[in-house]
Amino acid sequence: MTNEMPTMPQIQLSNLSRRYGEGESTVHALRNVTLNIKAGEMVALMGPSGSGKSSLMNILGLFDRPTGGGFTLAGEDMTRLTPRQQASFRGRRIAFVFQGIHLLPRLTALHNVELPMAYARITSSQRRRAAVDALEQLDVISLRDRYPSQMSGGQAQRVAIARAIAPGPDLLLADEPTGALDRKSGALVLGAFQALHQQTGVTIVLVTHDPYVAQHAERIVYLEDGQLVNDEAVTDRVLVDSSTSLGGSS
Amino acid sequence: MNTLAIAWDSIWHHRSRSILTALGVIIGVFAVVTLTSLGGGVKTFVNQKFAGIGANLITVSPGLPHNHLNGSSHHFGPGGAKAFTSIPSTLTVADVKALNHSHHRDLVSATGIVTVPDLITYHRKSPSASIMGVSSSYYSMQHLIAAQGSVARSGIVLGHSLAHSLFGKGHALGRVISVGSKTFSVSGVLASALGAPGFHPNNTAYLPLNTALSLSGQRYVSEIILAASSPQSVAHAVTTANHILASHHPSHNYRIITSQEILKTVTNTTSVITDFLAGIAGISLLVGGIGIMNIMLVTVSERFREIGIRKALGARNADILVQFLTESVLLAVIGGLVGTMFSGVATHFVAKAVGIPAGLTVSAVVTAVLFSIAVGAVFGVLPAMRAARLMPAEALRTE
Repeated sequence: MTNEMPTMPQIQLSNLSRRYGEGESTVHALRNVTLNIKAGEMVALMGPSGSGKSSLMNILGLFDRPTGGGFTLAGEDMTRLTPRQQASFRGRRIAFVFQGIHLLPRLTALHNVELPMAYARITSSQRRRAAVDALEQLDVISLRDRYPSQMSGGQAQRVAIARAIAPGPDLLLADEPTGALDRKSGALVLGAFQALHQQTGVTIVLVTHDPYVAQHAERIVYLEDGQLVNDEAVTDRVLVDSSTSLGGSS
Repeated sequence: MNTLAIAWDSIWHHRSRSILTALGVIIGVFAVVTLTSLGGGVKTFVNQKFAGIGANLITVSPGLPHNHLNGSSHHFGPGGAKAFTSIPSTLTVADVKALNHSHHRDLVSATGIVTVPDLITYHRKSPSASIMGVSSSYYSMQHLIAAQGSVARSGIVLGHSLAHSLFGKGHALGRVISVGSKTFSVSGVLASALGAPGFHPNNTAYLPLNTALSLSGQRYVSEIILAASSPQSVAHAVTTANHILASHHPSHNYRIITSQEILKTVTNTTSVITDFLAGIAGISLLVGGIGIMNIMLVTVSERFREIGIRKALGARNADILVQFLTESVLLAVIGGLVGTMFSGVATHFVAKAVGIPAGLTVSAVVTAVLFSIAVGAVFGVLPAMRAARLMPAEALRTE
């Protein structure tokens, strides 16, 4: 992936804080969160609503800036980026998979997957190749000319994952990626994440409130009241049989 | 997917809404282009039809003595405006004779004109027509040709439509009509003619100048019309005429106006009216632009999620701005082109019905399209900037 020093964590959060408002009505969404995530880790971020998960996701996704503390990605300071630099990180080096899937309805699967690379000004032949590779990797190449309305939820989410990974991001942020799916499709999608993680070594942060979903990661980080309260390795990890996920025909 | 394709896709997806939005621009552009084209047609018509006939003509009319005009040389200025009416003429038949005998090669002929303030009557019919006393050279100056009879005899000569309203389809020559207390027999009927600006040759009766003078008891002619040898020699002819007249009228109580000046005035007036109407029509274009802004603002809030997705996928603010601006400009340009098309059809039919050579000009179409682009851009900026500034991370987190 990237050529950073092996000792340097991929994501480094140090005393990260996010306050909203001033004076009496100040809300501390994040309080001194310190967290390191190594390249190639698959981490689940858990916590009840209001715990600061969303705030942390917004900062990791460069939608928001911390009010205190540091955030580096692959050694680069993310707190001082201009809006333009933030935009160029989003989609290309930091990719998203959302609960709501969020494929653009009037683009085919192929064009949806190509879109982040189009915004990154990657040439059309290169992005076509990368998009086809990603669709093949997620085993949805057969859907390349279909519109989102012609896909099942599980298929659409895998196209969305293909869209996220096609530019070769450093970090894949998945926000409740199975939240809108039934259990079977959800399992397929989680299997897809695991297979992807195993094959490409992409760093994945998976936000969920569902302990079962979190069990698919290697490590679980708990947030509560804006603070990091627990950080543990998953001992009884749920592994989806990759032959039923990436090979499956959902 | 390039920006234009995205914009078109969005417009096409909301077809009926797009049509309604574009309608404002369609109407605005239609009104502006149609009025401009018709105005241009009228101008061309005036130039083509009148310039050829009257371009070499010069009119001498009574004026205030020079020292009364405060040195103003404007014929249509504040000083000259008074001179249009109620100035007793001091131009005489002798002046006409002197001008006719100038033997200057640029000054071909001169005719006095006198207006007879009487009614024509024939069998209790009294059509409202003007009666003029003219010399025989007047007819050739004004390109008036006899359709029946001759213009050279001593009777009365009738304009085309006047003869028709008096006698219908019947024979006119030799019939006796009365002018005031006198009677005249019709010696000629003119062919239908356009005449120079300010003249209505079809609805006029012509008497020999001296007859008319004695009939109305006038000593002076109302005007003198001069013909220069060509439109190019008008300036020289004016100088010559001025020279001759100045010796008879030391106080310089006359004005010399060339047909070209009259034509210029008519053309300028047409232009002013056209611009004025186009300006009023431009207001509807403004309203159309506001319609676009309105709908684009709705579109932006409707597509909150789409904007969020695109930003999450790496779209810069500028990308979003360009996307929405392209959409509003495209919408306006489509409206502009449709409006121009309608205008082309309307102009064609109106021009045909009225009989003027009007049609869409390249400049009208280019102006319309540029105007539409400007409208789309100006009224699209606010919604597009609003879209670009959105940071809808939250919109992405909920389904």
